[in-house]
Amino acid sequence: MAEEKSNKIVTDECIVRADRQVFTSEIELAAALQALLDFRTERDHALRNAEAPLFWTAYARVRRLINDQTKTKLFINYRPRFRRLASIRVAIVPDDIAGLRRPEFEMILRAFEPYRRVHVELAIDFPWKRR
Amino acid sequence: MNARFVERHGKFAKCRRRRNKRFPRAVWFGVTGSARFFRGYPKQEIRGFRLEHQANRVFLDKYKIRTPSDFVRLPDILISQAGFYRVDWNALARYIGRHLRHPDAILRMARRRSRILTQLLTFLRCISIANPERFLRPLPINEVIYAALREWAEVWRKTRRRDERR
Repeated sequence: MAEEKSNKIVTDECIVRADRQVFTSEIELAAALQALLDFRTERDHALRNAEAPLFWTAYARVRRLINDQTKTKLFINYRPRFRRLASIRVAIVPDDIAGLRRPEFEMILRAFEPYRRVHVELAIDFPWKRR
Repeated sequence: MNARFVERHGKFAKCRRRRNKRFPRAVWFGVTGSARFFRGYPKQEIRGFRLEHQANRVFLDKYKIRTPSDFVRLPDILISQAGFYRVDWNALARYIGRHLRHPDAILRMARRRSRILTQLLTFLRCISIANPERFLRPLPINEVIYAALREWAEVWRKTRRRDERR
């Protein structure tokens, strides 16, 4: 219960949550997946560029993992199509209501070490008042 | 809180409001590729309006945010750069009346641009008013947001300590 409370802050008018986090890594995907025991692979598919024939997405494949307990999703882009890209790009998408928990976040980062941050999102939610 | 409120009162560092035809109920400040990007949109899942601050690599390098422990500094940075303000029209009118020609026409033009705060500030700078931010007064909602941000940082810090003790 204490941990459930720790990932979001509620005041009268606004709630702050850690939101989507993106980072790149040079680690082998198989090695990283072994460290992510709480996550199961939901889907692994190629990015076909069907909608934009002249634009190639940066990565050829994406693997989607989900943690059934916290509902946190991981989108792991791999097989880079361009030379200078990192071998893996990971997006952590936490549950909308719960937000991202720090222990889980650090566990994911440990699995992908060494990593390089791409972006960090902080969400401030303003709930609609009930009439 | 909605997109119109954010447009009218929001000031997010030097980010300018971006036109957004695809999502008319959303509001974007800055661009996704810039150092920081703010987006606000109604979100059904949380039954409310969400304002997101996306800190990109340039921003993270500048403020040396490398590990999750550095996240506790994010709220302080946000507090110093983002907020909601109202224009003190009396002070602005006094200044324009004292320093510029055709004050009534200028004030009319300024009021026409007041729907979007960043556009109003740009206009004031264009008519050679230096530092137009001095005519802005913070709204009470800032205190609520800042308190929530500080509390989040505190909890984020404590979570780590609790984790280490285990």
